[in-house]
Amino acid sequence: MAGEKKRWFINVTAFTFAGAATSGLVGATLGGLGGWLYPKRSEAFGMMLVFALVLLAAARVLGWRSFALPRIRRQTREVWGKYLGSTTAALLWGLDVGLTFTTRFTFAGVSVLTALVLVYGDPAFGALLFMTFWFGRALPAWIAPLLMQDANATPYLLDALDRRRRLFRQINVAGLVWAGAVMLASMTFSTSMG
Amino acid sequence: MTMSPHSGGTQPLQRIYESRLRHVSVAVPAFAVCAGVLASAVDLRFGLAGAAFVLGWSQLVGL
Repeated sequence: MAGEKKRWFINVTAFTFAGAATSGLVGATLGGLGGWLYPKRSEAFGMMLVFALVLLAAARVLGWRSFALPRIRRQTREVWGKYLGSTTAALLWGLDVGLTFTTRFTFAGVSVLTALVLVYGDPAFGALLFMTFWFGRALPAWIAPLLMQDANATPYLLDALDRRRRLFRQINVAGLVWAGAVMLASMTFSTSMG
Repeated sequence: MTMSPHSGGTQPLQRIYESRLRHVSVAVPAFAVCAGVLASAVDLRFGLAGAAFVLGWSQLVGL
């Protein structure tokens, strides 16, 4: 039992750190790309565009507007768990899902993050934003044992999760509203300061 | 007496997991928003990091 717990801890740690590394890399690359492509002097205009994207993304998540997101309909390879060791598989899953755009995502929030990072054009900020996004994504792997008594309960939890889809949609909208509010505050401060 | 999730059939079991999930799924973003508000006092960009965390957490349903 202690061995199982140790293995679980190693696997979840490998998953989390691998994903943080690739997410950070993606964020930093987008930040660098934004800094290269987008002139700093039009940051206010860029922020307005991102704010419009926040509204559009929220409308999509709430089902008020329907449009296709530019995304890959791919999931990470479950088969890795069968043929590779559990730690190697966890590491690869982390690396893969952490890349953000190589697997499908449920809600439109990630497109807002991408736009934000491009507009700010700062690799360090890009890495921070994508890594915190990843930590939010990876946290369920850490707290799942608190929700379930044993691994046999996984189907029940997944079932409950499926029925709670609406709640997660609302949480996504709350995240978008929060991002929009911070951006508004940022625009207000930069206008009053300059 | 503590209730075990494995006692009493599938329906109570599902209700217990739904209840636990509901509590955790709201508590985590609530905590992130509080931390984000505090972090915004240092730099508004940190507030955006709080929002990014909440957006990442909400992807749970797509796992």
